[in-house]
Amino acid sequence: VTASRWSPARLAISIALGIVVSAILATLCLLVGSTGSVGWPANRDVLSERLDIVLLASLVGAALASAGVVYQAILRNPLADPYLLGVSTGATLFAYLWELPAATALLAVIGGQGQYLGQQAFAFLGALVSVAIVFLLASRRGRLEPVTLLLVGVIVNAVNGAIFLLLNAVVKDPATPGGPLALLVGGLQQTLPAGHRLAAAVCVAIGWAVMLYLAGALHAAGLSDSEASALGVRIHRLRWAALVVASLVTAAAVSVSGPIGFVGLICPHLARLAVGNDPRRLLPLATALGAGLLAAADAAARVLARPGAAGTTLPVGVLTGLVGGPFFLLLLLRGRNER
Amino acid sequence: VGGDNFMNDLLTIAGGENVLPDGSESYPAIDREQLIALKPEAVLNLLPGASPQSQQKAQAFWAAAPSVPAIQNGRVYYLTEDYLLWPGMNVGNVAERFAEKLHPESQSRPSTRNAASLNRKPEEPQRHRVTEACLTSDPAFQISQFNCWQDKEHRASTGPLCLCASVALQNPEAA
Repeated sequence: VTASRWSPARLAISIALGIVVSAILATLCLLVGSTGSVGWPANRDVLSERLDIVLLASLVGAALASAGVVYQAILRNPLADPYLLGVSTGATLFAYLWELPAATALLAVIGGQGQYLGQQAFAFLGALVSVAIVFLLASRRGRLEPVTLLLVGVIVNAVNGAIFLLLNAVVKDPATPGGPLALLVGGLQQTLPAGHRLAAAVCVAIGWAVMLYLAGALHAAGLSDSEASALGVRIHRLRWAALVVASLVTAAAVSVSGPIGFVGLICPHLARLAVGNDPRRLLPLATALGAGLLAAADAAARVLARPGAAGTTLPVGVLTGLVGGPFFLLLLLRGRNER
Repeated sequence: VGGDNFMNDLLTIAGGENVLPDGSESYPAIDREQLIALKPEAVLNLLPGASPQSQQKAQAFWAAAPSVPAIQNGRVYYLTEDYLLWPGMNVGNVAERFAEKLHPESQSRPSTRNAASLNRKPEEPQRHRVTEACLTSDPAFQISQFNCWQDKEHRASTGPLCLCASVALQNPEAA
């Protein structure tokens, strides 16, 4: 599928194009609201409300999609998604721990000055702890093997989920809307302090730059370990760097949104249809796709929330899962028929 | 909360008016844009048993929507009693908490009767409790009725028991 040679100029063009397209999409998303009103909001508060949520959706979508590209390349597994290594369940578990009265004293100590450490910061910490455990358990003599990583990741995810449900059973929260079970499906948070959003954005931006820097080597890493080494890629070092950076980017996204499914899995595949398997081309396009798609999905969730229709704002994770799953199957089946 | 549930009834009993209409979904999750459009004059944020950090999070949520009238008037109230969402013997207390917040100026607190004490015989074991709607002929009492389980097996032996809120505002017209 790859047509012409990759060059920095092409990269600059594709990044610029990605920014323009996702900006246009984001502007369109500003026009729809959860009250059923369509058009530019007259109320400044409503505008800033929508702007917040659209920007956040774009950030999270971009982060998940770009991390997905890196995970799929470095693990050599097309089914890899950003949640495979325990990031999402670690964040979810810690976000839940944060709410419990038992955590009050600890949070006050970390937060200091009568302020409690925020839920997002704690979720970020949880994601890092969880992924660190996965790395620790999966590494042998300082090396990470993809298959071991995937298995350990699946198991740590399962254990995190079990602890979450165990706590939920012991604490006996009433099943209220917005309660702990809502943490299990991703939705964009509306209670974020500006600082948290900024921190997440900075984390994603730096991580994205590093991932782009690694993209060339990642292309070679798609071959076998020995072939990649023969091409001068220090494969084990690259694997560590790429996985740590992608996990940080994912953790930043998950801590402000919860585990939103399928974006990190599907966007790299969609982009691959257009530009082939080279991460250097894939990364900018998948990022733009992720940003645009999640912003659009969130806008759709808001339209569906019109009081006449459902009354309840759907968590965007429900929508991405419902639409993304069948869509992914469609891609898979079509690819199979063509072969 | 939307209409058609016991929280909505308790709110009405306490002299409040729900911004969401009757017949709307019972427990909708609405976002901030919908809140701005609904223009609530007062907000009762129920956080039963919430930890201080969760309360702080709720405060941050409301502080970020300055154009909601309730925030401009400083009328967002946080209630943390454990029993707030239990459709049980404390419903009268819940209505009382609501009324305190909604009508702080009113000297006459609503007189409440926690319904569980209405018909209950002290010797009845709790698991034999059979719930029925409250009925009263006293017009000063507004009656809330909500869905309860009925234990037919034990009904004959223990007799019915009302479990519902009956709260009277001493001056209902003023609400």
